[in-house]
Amino acid sequence: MDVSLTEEQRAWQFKARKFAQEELQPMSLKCDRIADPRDTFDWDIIRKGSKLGFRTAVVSKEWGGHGIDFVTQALVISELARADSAMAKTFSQCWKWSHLIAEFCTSDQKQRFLKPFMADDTYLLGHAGTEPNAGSDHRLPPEDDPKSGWRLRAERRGDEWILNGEKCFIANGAVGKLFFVDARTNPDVSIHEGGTEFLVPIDTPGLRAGKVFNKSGWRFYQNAELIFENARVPHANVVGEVNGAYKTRGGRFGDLELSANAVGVCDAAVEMAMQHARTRWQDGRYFKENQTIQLKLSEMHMLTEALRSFVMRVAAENDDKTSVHQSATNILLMNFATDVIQRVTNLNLDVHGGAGITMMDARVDKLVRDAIIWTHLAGDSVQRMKAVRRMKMN
Amino acid sequence: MDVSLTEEQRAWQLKARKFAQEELRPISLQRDRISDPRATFDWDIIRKGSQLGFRTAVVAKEWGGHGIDLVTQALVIAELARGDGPMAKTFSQCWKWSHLIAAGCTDDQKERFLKPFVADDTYLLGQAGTEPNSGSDHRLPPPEDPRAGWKLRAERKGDEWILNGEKCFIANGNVAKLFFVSTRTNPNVRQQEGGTVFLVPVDTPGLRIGKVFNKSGWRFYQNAELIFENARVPHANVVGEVNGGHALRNGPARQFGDFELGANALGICDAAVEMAMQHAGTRWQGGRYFKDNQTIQLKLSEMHMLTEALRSFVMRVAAEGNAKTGQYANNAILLQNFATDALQRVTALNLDIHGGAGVVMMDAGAEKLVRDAVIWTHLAGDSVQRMKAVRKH
Repeated sequence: MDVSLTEEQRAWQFKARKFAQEELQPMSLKCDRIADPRDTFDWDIIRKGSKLGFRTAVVSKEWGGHGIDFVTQALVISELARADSAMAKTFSQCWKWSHLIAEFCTSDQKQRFLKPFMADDTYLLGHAGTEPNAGSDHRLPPEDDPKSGWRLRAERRGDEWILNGEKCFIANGAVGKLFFVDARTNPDVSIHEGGTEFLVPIDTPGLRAGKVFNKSGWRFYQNAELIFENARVPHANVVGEVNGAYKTRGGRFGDLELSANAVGVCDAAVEMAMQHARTRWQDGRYFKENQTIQLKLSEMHMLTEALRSFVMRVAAENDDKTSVHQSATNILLMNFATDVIQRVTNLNLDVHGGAGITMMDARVDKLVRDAIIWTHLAGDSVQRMKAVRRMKMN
Repeated sequence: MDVSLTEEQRAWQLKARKFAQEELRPISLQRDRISDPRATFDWDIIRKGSQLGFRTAVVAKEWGGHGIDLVTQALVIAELARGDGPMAKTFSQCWKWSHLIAAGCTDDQKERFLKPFVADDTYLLGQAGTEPNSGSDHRLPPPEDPRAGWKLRAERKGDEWILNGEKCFIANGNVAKLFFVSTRTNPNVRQQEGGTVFLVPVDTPGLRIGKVFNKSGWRFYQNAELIFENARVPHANVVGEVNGGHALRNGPARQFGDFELGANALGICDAAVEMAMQHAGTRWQGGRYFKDNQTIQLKLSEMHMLTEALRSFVMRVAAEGNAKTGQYANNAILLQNFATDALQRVTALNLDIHGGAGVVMMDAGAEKLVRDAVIWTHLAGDSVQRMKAVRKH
């Protein structure tokens, strides 16, 4: 057991902190407030972050990336999220699929997609899973029901696959240049046996981006429709094996990523609450002299430190290939992150009183709105049952 | 960052696990059920545990102990508590005051008290702070009020101090051989400036044990009254400095105490998760196993989640303690607050999953874990303990 960081890890942490404070934080509320969901995005931030290495941080060094380990990834995500959760997620969304590329893509695919990704500061990655009628049931599909799960159809014609259907809520949908698209290649069997994943560049003929969804939180982060009308994808773009998509899923990084992001948001909430409690003068004393305020601050600190402990442990376990690590632990972590971020951001709102709820300048309500998305991504009932079911299988 | 354990740490963990499974767990429910609170204790367990090194584990090697580090302490406490929470606490209570001896006692005092402690398998340690009229206000005394805090009076007469007053709820009160007693040596100033800690052997003339308290949980663990009537304690038994008692209490022993309760809670959570998984996997009702119900899965999931969060927090704070980072002390308080919430929730969920079998049938052991968890409210998670964490900021 050792909680110390290496010089390199610390250097990344400081670099991220500086970038977050100087570039993300000043833009955070501004972007959040733009009414049109297509306009909340800012390419300038992406370019600056990319030049500092944040877009390509987890790509291995041999392919021109930085190959930072899980502990560093957790530190960087937290620091970026402390300034703006949705901006942090836009960068780490690229990491998520960099992990997938490293694990499952062929050298030819890396050559065709990883190289341009490395070379272009505005090259973002996405993944298209969710459909209007395939939401949480492709996360935990009924064992033997061919009707559940992805319906976007892919049919082979010679050296190509023809894709038809619709994906929705797709992250980086309006801004990504390459998507990992989950398709149904055999509709007569369960999703476990009939799903295939394709690498689909955004300029694929027959693919277009539809509406961009208007979200209550994470407004910077773009979630869009992708519409496939006879979209033609070469066979060489199949990730892993045909009908083997389910095996390429279940990467652990996504669970860790959301939890590290939650730590950053909690840190921001704690900082704001402490600052407010120290400076707000009411009824002849500072807010922090009230016992009820102390109990709230105490709970915020407590939950934030519990979450940080859990995140760093899981990051370290993932780095240490010899450790006895159960993948279910990652799911438990993101469930916990959901409970913690929502409680801590709400307590911050509470400590701020009217100033937090009514005044958007305080940034308090933004943290609460940003935290809402965890319910779906990391802490709904399906995500919670999944952890236990995975344990039973082990 | 490194989550691996050394060979030595693993060896202690496995030794504790074996002792807990083979010796503590078989008698856990049995001792809990004895109605006379004086009779729940079992010296045989203490002797056996002592012979394996659990009583003296944190005493430095140069004084004949094992000098295990904080990570090992966490592992051992959690393993023992998985067998029985209060039995684990009886051992680790000795560690708590071993920490204080190491940090605050003179070589002469170590010679006179640490040596016999290490030599005698039945030598237990205790600390006497709480009084009938001095509970949470000596934890977080009003800054300027001389009337708050300890009232047990110590007055100097030549080379001796004369102690008069009463202590209550004292852990290991009727089984320990030596106590660290917090007293008031100057009643005209606040406790921070007028409190002194003494080493008081139980056979001190004028000291006697009163009643043993009947608790809802942690029944094995003995909490008793200590009554001081002109008890005579040599000046050589002052720990640290006269009127320096408050600082002493907020030193290494206090910090270990916060941490210790986090590790103990972890062991009980592990026991609860194990019981719940076992029950859900075997109980057949409504045409399926319990575990195939979604509501049961959500409960099991929450139990696992909180237990793993707590384990992460405990091990991080232990490692911070070993590395002597400044974060340890403050995180240890937050840890014990969190341990309270996690433990009480996890044991209640276990009771819930057991249904009637858990609530009504004492044989299941589910309700014992809930009762054992109650004490955390006072020791680790009441409002005072929570405000304390934030007042340090």
